[in-house]
Amino acid sequence: MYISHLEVIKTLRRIFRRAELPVAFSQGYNPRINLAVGPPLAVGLISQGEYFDLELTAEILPAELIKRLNKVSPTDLKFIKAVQIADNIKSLSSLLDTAIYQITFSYSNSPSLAEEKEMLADFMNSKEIMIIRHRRKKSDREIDLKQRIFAAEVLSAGKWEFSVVTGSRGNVRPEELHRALQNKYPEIKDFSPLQVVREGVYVNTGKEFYPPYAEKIIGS
Amino acid sequence: MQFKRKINENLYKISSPERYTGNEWNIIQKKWTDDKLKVALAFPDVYEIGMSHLGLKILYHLINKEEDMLAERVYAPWADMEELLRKESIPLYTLESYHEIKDLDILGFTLQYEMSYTNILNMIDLSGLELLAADREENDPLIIAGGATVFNPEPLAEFIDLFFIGEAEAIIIDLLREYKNLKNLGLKKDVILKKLNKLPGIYVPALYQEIYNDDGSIKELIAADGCKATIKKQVVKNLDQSFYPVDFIVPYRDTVHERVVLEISRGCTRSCRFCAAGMAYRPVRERSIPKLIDLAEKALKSTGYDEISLTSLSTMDYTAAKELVKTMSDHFSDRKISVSLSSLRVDKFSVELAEEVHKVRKTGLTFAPEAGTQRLRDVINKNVTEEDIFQAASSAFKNGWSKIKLYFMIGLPTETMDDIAGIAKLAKDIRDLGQKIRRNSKKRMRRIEVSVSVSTFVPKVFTPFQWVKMDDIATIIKKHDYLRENIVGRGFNFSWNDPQLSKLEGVIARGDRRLSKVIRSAWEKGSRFEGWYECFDSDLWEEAFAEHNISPADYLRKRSESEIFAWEKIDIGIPKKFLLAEYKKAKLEELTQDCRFDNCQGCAICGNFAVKLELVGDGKNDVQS
Repeated sequence: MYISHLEVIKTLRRIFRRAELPVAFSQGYNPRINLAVGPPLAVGLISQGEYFDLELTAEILPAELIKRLNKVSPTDLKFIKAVQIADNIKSLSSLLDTAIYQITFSYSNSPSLAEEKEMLADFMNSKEIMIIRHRRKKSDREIDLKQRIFAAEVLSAGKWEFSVVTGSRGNVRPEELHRALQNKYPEIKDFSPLQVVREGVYVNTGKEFYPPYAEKIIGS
Repeated sequence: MQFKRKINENLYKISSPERYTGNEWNIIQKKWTDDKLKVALAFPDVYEIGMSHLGLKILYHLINKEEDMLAERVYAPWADMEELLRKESIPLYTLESYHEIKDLDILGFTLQYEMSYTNILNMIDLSGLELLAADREENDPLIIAGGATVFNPEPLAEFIDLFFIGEAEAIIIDLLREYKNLKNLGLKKDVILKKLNKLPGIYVPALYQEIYNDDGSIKELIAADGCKATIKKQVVKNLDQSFYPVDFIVPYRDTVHERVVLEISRGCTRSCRFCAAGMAYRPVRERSIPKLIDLAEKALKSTGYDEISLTSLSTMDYTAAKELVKTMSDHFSDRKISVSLSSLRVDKFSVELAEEVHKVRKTGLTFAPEAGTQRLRDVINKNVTEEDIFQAASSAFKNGWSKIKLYFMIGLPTETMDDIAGIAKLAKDIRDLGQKIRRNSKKRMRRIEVSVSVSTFVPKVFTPFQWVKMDDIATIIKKHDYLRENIVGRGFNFSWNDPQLSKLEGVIARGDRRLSKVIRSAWEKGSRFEGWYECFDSDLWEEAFAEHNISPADYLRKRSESEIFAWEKIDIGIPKKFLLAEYKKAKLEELTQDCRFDNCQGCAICGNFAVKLELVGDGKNDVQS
């Protein structure tokens, strides 16, 4: 789906209304549904796991909530899990700091799986991975991807996974990863957003990645 | 053929891909089976404009209700998408099933304004179809058109197989079913078209001819043997019981109207003499309040929108407007659903009603005095006095609105520079009034802003002004210059229309069949989306006119009272003599009243078409609150 972040938020608000949920509204002249969402997903990417916090004025069982939401959602948007949380925990945007992307490459000469693993290892062993970031309505800027990649591995032939920083501490665009790799390995064919799946967004504790609803995260 | 994969693989390369992906909430994707008649509903402008068009929403749901039919949508591709489609050899496709247009039985266009005609040609071409109806194959989709500008279909006569004149709900299903039956009989296209032309409201242009005098004016309109001489527009009787959709498609991207649109009434009898819709959509028919509440309730539940827009040609003239607005507000406010009104009348009542619904945000109010002096407002029968205007403005400022937009026309019949000066004076007086109210206001008010927007009057068919000469470019520019020099200073904002564009609109609005060639040439030269300022290139059109030896001035000239018009084969139910009488009254500055609130004024639509005013209230609007 080629839907922007703001359009996703708008779509969610409408889904809540269609589901006739007992949503809480913000105060003020222009009351809005109290909704907070995780880090934006670039237009054109598919994601398998995104999060939002929604405030309700009445209790609903999580399973019941999911059922009601999915009943009134477009085919390509599915609600997977609901967890009740206390209203004093940190916001999603301050918690979520890691995004995992899976990129499927096509090559002009397909390397073997072993070669791919070597390619990735070489790439990750670079001292720095400098890339030009193009910014809308702002001048280009050079950034180092190296410090922004937490982990990377080859999942299967042509399919690599990258865990990268997201949120207030910076972010990495899949297109930039692809471009950096293509710079190093020109046999990689041109980028299309359809090659990328965001596997999910996580909280990085330094050792492991947790979903934001994990006991370890909301319990502390 | 379907090209879904190829399309999706390429869409990220263009701006706003969500214009072309479909898949919205409430989309209707019916199973493609051989027994279904398949209709592509085409809007000749971009998605976000087309998605706001009520007429197509009605048709989409109306046709899809039929078991043996399906309707899918297609919008005009923006330049980058056109380039992509041509480069990748992808034909134009529908958003529901990604089928190319050639796979469907009917391609139906809605005609909204003259400046989208090249887009129609472009969409036909991108479908891989011949532009000229006469060149298309037996099995190509039938191309049909209807809508607001169909009352003069002639400029498109060469491209369209069949026009539908009037309100489509009336017999669109009958037309489609008849087409399906005739097609199943294995009849040839020309035979089918001739038979369809017998249906009420259906006009097959190939069966009619225009004969010209030596001076280029029309000598005669000829119908082929056995074909009706005039085509009667179709009218919905009993709007309250007629079909209205509630399962509106909910777009992802921003569109012009992102809300539940409720058509509270159809038609307008204020008799503004410049207004095409005011004549073409008579008589006035109103929906009842219980029906509207019921529709709103269902549509809100189905869409998840948080706003209801009450719409019609003149919302405030709904004869139970106050009761409607109050009932709506009371009914929905606890759910944080807001109600908005379109087309405010210039008077205190309108502002009070707006106040009722805009209890929260006060962005801006738009009033349309249309002309700068009382004399000229009487000529056009605007039925708005100086007092109305100041009361409305004063009431708006006092209720906390600080931005007012004033809408005027220039180039109206009998207009002089005094009338133009009147626009500047009125704007200044309103700004001064606003500033005075702001100074004396106890509450904090934003800075007063008065925006003055002028458009150029374009004489439209089937109006009392269909005979008048349109201003030439030099005159329009002179008037713009005057206003630009005189509407200056703090709190003013002045905007105007491109005079070249108005001129082109004027030519096509009262055009005839000879313009088909010109439109085609302009399209071949690359003209598209003329209504979009950044896309319009008047030079392309000048070249196109020159190529065919056609002078725009011939179409903008004053018409004689005895002249035959290209659009006269259409019967909108209002006789030419009524329009002519109105034209004469205009020149005498005489007013005509509104038959909703006064006696019958003799437009004759009710008698001619066996219809009647369908009013809900008494028009007094004195509701107990």
